[in-house]
Amino acid sequence: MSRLFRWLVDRLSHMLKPGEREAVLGDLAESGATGSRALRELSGLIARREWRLWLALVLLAGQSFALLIFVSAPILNFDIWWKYGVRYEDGLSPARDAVVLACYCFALIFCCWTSGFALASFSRRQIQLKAALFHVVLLFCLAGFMASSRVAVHNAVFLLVAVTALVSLPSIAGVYRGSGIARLSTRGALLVAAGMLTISVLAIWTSTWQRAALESWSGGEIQTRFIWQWQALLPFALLNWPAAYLAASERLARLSDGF
Amino acid sequence: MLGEFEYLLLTAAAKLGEDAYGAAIRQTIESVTGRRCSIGALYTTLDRLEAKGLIETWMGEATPQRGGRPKRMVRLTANGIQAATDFYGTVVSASRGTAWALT
Repeated sequence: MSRLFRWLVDRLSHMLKPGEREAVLGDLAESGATGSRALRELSGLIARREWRLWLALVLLAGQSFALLIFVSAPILNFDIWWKYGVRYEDGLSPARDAVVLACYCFALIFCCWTSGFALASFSRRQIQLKAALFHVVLLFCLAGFMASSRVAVHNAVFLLVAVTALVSLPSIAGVYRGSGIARLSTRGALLVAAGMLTISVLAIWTSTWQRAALESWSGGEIQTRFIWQWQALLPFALLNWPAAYLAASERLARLSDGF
Repeated sequence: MLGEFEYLLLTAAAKLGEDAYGAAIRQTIESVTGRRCSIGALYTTLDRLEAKGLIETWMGEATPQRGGRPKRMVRLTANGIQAATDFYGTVVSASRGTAWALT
């Protein structure tokens, strides 16, 4: 086995429980597996063991990316206003623009914190590696978005700073917190549930302004009555799944404890 | 009711007796079926069978050929023997009267 494969197998094997890790590495050594085969066998076992985690990683990165796309427009508009004093005319007053931006930022910070916490609570082994993978997927998506939407380099730098503040720091804080405690306390679960509710209400509330502005801009051509139908709530329900998972797992754990 | 792979694993462990551990079980299954048995399939099935109470596992001795790493030893429980016997009985009775069944 080459040094590279040995190193990769060793790093990957730390995602298994210590006892199982020893047994699996011993089985691989006994069967005389080549480096690539050992890596494939080990990856297969980890994928089977932690499929929930890998699924969660992809979903969380996708979710953060979707939210970032929402947030990137007001953030870039803010950047232009900050640098050049030119305000992008979107039909909203400056105060309402600021509220919309604050709501988006709050939603992103909240979702990233709960995502990080949920990720750490799924599995605590090699959490740094998983957090790094999460960021790699996210940054890959973001780079694709910036390239496809032709974001200028100085704006890209600003967006990257925003990603660090709104995505990386909250998700790392969530991971750190989630690694430290087994599950949320009742108070924590209530706070998460309250956060979910607040985000949904704020999102619907602020979107009525934007839709009213759109109606006004189109001279009544575009009607936006569908906003109060159930479809409007679906995206928020999907975005809030890590928070819902945390709140539900706390409740289920209490039920199984006999509370 | 057991799955096909679960039955194969229990049978291999029963055949190996005191020498039943991950790599040996894997080798037995591969030689009997002529198919590759991945470590992922083996270890996740071992966990599932242990959770069902059909086998017991513990960490055994380390040998030089394993790089000084211990073995995950496997032993069938009474429930495991019963489950394998039931599965075999079902397969035999379901196969009776078919062209491929032994008379």
